Amino acid sequence: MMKTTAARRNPNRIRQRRGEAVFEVIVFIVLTLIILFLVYPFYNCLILAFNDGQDALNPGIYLYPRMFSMENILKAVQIEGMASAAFMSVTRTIIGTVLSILVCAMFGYAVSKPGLKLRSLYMVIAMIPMFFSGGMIPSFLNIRNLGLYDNFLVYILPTLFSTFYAIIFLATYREVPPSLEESAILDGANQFTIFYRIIMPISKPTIAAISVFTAVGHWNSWMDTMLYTGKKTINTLAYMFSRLIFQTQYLQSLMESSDNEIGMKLYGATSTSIMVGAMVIATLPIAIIYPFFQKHFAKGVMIGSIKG
Amino acid sequence: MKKISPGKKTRFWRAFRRQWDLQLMVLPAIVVLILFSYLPMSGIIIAFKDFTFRKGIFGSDWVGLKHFQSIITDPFVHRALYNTVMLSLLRLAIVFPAPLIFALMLNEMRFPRLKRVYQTMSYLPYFVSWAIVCAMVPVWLAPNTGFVNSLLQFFGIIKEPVAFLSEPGYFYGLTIILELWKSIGFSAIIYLAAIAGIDQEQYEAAMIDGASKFQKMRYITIPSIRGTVSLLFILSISGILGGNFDVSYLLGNGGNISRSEILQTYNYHMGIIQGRFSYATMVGLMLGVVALAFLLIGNAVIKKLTKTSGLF
Repeated sequence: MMKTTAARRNPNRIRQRRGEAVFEVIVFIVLTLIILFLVYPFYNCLILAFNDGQDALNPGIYLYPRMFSMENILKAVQIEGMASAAFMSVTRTIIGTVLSILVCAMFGYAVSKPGLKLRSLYMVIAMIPMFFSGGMIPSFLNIRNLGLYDNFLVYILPTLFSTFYAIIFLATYREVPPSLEESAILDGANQFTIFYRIIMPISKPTIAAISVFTAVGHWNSWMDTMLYTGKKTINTLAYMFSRLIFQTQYLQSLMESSDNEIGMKLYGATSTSIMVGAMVIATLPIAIIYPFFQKHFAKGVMIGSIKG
Repeated sequence: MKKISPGKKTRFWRAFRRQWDLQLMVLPAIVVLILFSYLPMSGIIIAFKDFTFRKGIFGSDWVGLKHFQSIITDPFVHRALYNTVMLSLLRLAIVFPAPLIFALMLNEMRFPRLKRVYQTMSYLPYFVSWAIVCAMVPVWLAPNTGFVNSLLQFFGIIKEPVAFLSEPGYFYGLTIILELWKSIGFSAIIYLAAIAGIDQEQYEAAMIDGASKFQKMRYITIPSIRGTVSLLFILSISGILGGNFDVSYLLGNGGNISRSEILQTYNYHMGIIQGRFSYATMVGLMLGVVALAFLLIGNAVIKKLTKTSGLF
């Protein structure tokens, strides 16, 4: 009502609202283009993975598989070392996430107590590595000196503590009213019992958010495998892909340069398709799980940003 | 045994022992930090030594600034430094502000349900490993079959297919586009959270005054989130200068090395591949010092410009 009277009184207002409608349409179109830019590359790989490898030699597969085939996916699972690498990735993700959450949450909880002795010293010790680190080579030599080279624990131990996540826990635990713990303290419970029985259950949303970040970090990490391991038995999935890149580039140069040798070309084409199949398999767990965790990590980022 | 009245020290230890459980909770974190953050920091001294495995970090011979001097004259360091700085500047100019613009646009979108779908889709690339993304890149960019070349040819931007990966001239653009692609949606979350926290009464008042959408964005939204923007800017400075080892290493090859080599990959090639540990550590040390300096300068500039407290 108010708007219409204002519009009648002022013809500029109508022009302005028409301008706003145009503005909205432009925003909508630009956003849609951005989303296409973000999502289409994955979709492109998805349809290539489900297309026959030889057929994919010819361009033109952009919207749906031209020659549907499950062969790439089935062969990708059988790539040598892929199954054991997947097992390693799953194992390190689960063990690493659980332990890292425990270490960060306990630190955050203890430091959230104002009466903690040496509290500010602990905070300084935790903050400095955020701004300065030894760098790649000293870390590499350190891992060797500690006897962790080629050891599965090299995936777990160095990443156990993250200052950033500990601060998010600290911010969460500061909000916990002391009255919650008082009755437990009167019952003679120690802090470990309180932490496990009272604190952990009420901080479930924060734990969920940080678990997602930590788990994704573990699942995607490939540099530690490259730097700190030499034997193939503890290869991880992400590391396998970092090696595939060089292979794919090589195969493609093979395909481009060997116009006459049909056999080579076909070999290159089918191998590339199998690799694309493997990439799709490795991405799928994240794509499937992440809509469920979406609200948690959005919340986690917000807690982190408020405390900054 | 001397008998003393409970002094400051004993009082401290008594209180310390009483909270043994809390102190024990801090312990694992401190042990991890000492073993994996502070021990490597002490290893930096090999930048001033000639490190050999036989003599170890502390036993190797001191050589003073020998490695620093050879770095200054090393043309490959100059090239890597140039690429690192250029990529950092591009990142500051493009990758840093893009999520803010994306968030502002999402905020102006009309349909709430579609908005949520768009937002969910936009985070997806963030959760996929650089290793997998970079493994997909050669497929996307393949001269004959990749969709990028076909699309560019369809719009007449290029006539012949381009081998983007082996031409050095495309590497900066490729890196920036990939980083933008991977982070824009996720980085926008923080801005969207900040925008959601703005007092709605300001918008109502502006509406009564007849402000347009654009004016509201310009005079309410942007000033309200200035603090968040400057904080994120400071936090990202060291990361921005830190470079992107993943892309430069994974997509670097003989063809594009003149543009893809950055200080981090040079560090890796010198140290891990060629075994020149001391030299590589010096390269890493210089990088760390420059990043720290940028952080402090950035913090001071932001403090001056926005009159906020900065990070420290």
